Amino acid sequence: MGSVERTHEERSLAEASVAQPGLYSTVQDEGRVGFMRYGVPLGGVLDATSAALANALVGNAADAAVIECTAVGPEIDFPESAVVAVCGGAFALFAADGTPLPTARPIWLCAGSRLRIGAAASGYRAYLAVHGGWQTEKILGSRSTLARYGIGKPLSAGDRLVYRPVARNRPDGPWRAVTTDAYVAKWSAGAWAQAGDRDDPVWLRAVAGEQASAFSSAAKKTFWSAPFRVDAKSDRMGVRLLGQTIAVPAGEMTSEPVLPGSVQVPSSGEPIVLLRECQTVGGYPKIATVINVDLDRLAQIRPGAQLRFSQISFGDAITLYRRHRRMLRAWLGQIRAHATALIEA
Amino acid sequence: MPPVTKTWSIERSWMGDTALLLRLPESLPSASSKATAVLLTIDQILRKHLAQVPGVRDCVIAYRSLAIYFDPDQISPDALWARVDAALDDATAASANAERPGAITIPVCYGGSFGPDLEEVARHAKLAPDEVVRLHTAGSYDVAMIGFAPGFPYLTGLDPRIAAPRKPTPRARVEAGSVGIAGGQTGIYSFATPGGWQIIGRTPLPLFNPARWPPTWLEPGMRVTFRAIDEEEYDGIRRAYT
Repeated sequence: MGSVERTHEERSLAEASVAQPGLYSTVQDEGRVGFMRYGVPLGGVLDATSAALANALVGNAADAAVIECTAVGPEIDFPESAVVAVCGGAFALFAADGTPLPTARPIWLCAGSRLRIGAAASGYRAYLAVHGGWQTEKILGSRSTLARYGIGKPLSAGDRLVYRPVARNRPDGPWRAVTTDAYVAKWSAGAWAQAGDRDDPVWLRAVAGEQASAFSSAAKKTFWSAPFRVDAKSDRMGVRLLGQTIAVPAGEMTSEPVLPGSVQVPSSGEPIVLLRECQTVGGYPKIATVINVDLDRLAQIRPGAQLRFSQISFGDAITLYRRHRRMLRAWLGQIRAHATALIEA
Repeated sequence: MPPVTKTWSIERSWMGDTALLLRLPESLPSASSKATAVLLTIDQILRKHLAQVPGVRDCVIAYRSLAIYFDPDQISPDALWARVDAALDDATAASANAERPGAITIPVCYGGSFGPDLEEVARHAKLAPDEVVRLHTAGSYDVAMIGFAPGFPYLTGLDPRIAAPRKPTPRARVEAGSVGIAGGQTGIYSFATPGGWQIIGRTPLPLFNPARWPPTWLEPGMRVTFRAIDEEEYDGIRRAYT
């Protein structure tokens, strides 16, 4: 039975090559924990739930490195067989011959096939996971690209990405051939799989910020009741908001620690919601903090789309956080087990 | 010695749903060596008490505040609060001073193209440029925080005679290693970025190197002094690090 096949670890590594990089694609994992005191951003995947789901669908733990795609994904050649999954926004996905492939399902690519991740019909980011994880170099304990500070770069054409090929070239069991060299699992992750709200505006839940009491009641009323538009100048550090200006409290404030979700109001009055690649300290007053659970949804809002804030209590935020984690853990565990069985069948 | 929390009432608040913020009282002057010392005491003790606590992810220190980042799924806010209480009771100045990080001397080539604002700072201070350099190198500084960019130290202890306001229009690019003054603080750009500080010199030392562990020379609480070097020595040190 298994005696002829080499085990996973014994198989030699393969190098996928980037044919087209997409709009802005980077290798990310769960980020760099423990270096914030040196000013190093946490970084990592911006929509952590979608990334963890993509990983689970190929049998990986949540901390395996994935490729984060933005608006339009990359085109990647796999010289050896690979099992991949794409989760997040509703990105179009194609095999080498143009046959559409589904997101949120394990896809078995035979040696020599190409995967093309096209544009997103909804949502803004997607995650490409490969069975075994992308094997880029770990720097400060993480594979997360931090391009601004010289840790990795966004993908460009010709880049090579190391992965571990699956043991066989073609799958057994409940897989459906969609082309001569691509198979799709006859099983999907279900309801949670699609990220990216179709709502416009998207509602984000937030708690009061550290300087909330310094803002005028009119400023707070505007912030909590008016819709904002996402500026195209947004990046992995923060989402810039347009459409309303918030009166800033008088006087300079002393720089304080910040965190992903902090809603800073600089002197322009146009708020910036920090994302996971944000700096560690900031000197702008913060009117609110988006709750941790909603950061994933925030990362899926496209430039030009609208969002609004609704205030919740700290206690409710904690309850939501725990419920989300508990559900996610159970759900990812089941998916991972199922995916592993499918791949190793 | 009484705990620092008895001497200074530390204000506590939640930051979002995943961090606890400790703030020094307004009565303690911001960006002062005293504030830095009190915060460092708390920081050292917290790190000792919380190092093995599951769910405590990181700790960031700023001028007059400190944030503890946590995972509410692994440690409840109440449990974290209690842990911090216990730690603060233990935070006497004596207990932390022993573990204060070391000192470093940073070589700086002042003026010229490396320090395009030295003359402006001198004019503002009504001093000769050499005197600005003398006062800058005579000082002993504390790393009050690291932020803005990885490895960018904010230093307290600047001689008030050479304090200078930020440039009215920030430069589009300040080179990595640039030593600047902004108000009563001095600092070093760890990366080439836009910036509005008055640049008086440049160090050849790379301030951030992700291949090294830890990735910076400096950490909060470290004592810093500056040493003036000429261009020849600058080039020599620079070569040694590339």
